Amino acid sequence: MNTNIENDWTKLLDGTKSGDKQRQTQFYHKLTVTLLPIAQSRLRGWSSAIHQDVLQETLITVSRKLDSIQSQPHHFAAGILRNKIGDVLRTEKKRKTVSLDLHADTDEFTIQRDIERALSDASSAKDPLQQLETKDQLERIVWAIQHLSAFCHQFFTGILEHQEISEIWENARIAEPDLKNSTFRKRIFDCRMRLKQILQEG
Amino acid sequence: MSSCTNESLGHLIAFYETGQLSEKEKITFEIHLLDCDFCRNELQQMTTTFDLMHEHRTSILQALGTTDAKPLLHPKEVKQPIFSRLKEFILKIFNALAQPEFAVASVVTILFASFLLTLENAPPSSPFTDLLKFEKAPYNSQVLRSSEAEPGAQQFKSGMSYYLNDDFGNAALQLEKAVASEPENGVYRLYSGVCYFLQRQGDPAIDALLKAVNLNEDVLQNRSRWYLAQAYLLKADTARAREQLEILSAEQLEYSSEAEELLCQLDD
Repeated sequence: MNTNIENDWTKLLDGTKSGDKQRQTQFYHKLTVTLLPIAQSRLRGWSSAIHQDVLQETLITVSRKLDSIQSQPHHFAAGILRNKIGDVLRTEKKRKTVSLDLHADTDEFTIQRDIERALSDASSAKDPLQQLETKDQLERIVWAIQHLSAFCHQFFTGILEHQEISEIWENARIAEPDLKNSTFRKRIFDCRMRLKQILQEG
Repeated sequence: MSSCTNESLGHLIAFYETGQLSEKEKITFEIHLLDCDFCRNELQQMTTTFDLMHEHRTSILQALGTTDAKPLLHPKEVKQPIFSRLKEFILKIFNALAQPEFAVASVVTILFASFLLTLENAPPSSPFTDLLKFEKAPYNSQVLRSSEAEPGAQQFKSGMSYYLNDDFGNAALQLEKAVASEPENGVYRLYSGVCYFLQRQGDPAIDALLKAVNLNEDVLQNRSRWYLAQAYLLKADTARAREQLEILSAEQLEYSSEAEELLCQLDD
């Protein structure tokens, strides 16, 4: 299966390098689809505009370095994406530090970021219908968690309370001293699948 | 698309979505994600759910009836900084001293604050703890006799006396002194690392054992490698632990069967 995936990527990479427009479009589309979940997960809580920006910057860097990529362009692109995400997080950390400084209001970069953020917030402001939708979704999540097993309920509540996984693991071990780590992981996977199933069933 | 290409990695999806993986584990999972359509599709399907859980956690906790819903904070910001706790603690002492009738309360506060500080410094437990073998590395006192003239030998001897009596805290202190006298001594590094490991202190154990692997040969190198692999697991660094375990299992020497067994358990 992996060989097929590698072949697909190699074909798209070679086509893009040779200037084949169709392959080029497919290549960047496939990269976007592959990398978007990583950007969304790593930057959870950030706006979709930021996810798109980071992806776009990644694709630009990939296109600049295309000649140096020999194989597995998606792995190469994922490395670049991680760097870009690191830059975003470092900039945010710096922005927070600078804004505490008395001279923060003279920092052009901070101002620019604030404007960008304000624009982004404005564009993503939710209308009443959207808010209703969110309320409905939240109620469904609560309902789903309530209908999970005690173990799953404890896991999701723990996550929401910002417990570390090691704490949740220790708690589970208190209840079941013979519980193996592999079983624990599998159960959490099953909890997630059950949550998804309940949400889908509505 | 029908199934995951590597189930042991696929099972980490909920850990990844909820930000519970170490950086190394995140990268390992992401590498898997790049070639696994099933997991990528799963991740996409649940993005909105986990986004909402992240954004509205307090509301969800309240709706679930959890009374101790904490304010919305980034996971990294949840723990109150130690200096802030210390400041509160000192203020409480001053207040109590100013009003002698609250002396008892002040003693209670001191005990409670000490407890909090102990919690802060307690080593985090790893999800792999149950796989680890917290056993002493064998120690042959012949090594001690042959090295009495070496720098740090006295501290080493003292440290190993504690070690043999299972007092790993004092053993580590003495062995650190021995290491300071002779930093290139692989035996000192090995037992120092083992002491830290037995006290569940991952970082200093890794530091000492990495050096022990480089400084020792044959049996002692394998022994160092075995404890190093376990110290990595103590820090939930499975990628590096696997590297060490694979070297051990390939050599068919001391600890190779233990390494193989541990690798199998990790694969599970």
